[in-house]
Amino acid sequence: MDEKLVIKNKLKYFRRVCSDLTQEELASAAGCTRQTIAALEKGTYNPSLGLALRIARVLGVSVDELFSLAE
Amino acid sequence: MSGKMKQNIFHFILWFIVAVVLVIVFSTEGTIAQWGDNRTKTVLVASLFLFGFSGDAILRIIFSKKRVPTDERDKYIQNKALAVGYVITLIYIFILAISIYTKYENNGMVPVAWIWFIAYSLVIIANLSVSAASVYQYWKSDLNG
Repeated sequence: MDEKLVIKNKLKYFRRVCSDLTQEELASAAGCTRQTIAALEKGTYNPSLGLALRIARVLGVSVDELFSLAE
Repeated sequence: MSGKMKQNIFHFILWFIVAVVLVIVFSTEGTIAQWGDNRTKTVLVASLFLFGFSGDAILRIIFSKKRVPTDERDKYIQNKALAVGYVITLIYIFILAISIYTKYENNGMVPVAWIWFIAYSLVIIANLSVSAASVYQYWKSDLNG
């Protein structure tokens, strides 16, 4: 229960390959800062549910496709 | 480097300057023993804090939300830094109070200047520890990966 939650994401892939967006553009559309997108891509920050949903909506994918629990 | 990180760096530098001057004032010979009689030093320390809080207010205006956008990650880092700062401040006060007690245990009384020093340094340590913890969190976040 106390184990640290490790979340993997395919944010960089969906942002660059599927949507062709810059970090700045994605951040602006999702309502966060570029630094947060960079931190998410690096895996140094886990987003709130609200932010995860907003990013998924901007990229046109489901949250499940974008984020997953590390085994 | 994000705007919030810059703000915390400037905030740390500002309160570090205040800390250095406070330590210099209090370590000058006779300050502790003659605190109540030395009007110049009490006014100097009060001015020092006016400088600290004014600088703080200016930083808040320069790095306001309108000029520097913030989001949930900034709030997360700020909350983490506040928790770290809280613990550091508690430990500092505990160690300082015990040290002063140990030093003056046989005298039966503590010079009032030490109470002023605890009060002033508490504010400084709280500010320094929170900004240092924020800078560390931002740095760690930027460094990994």
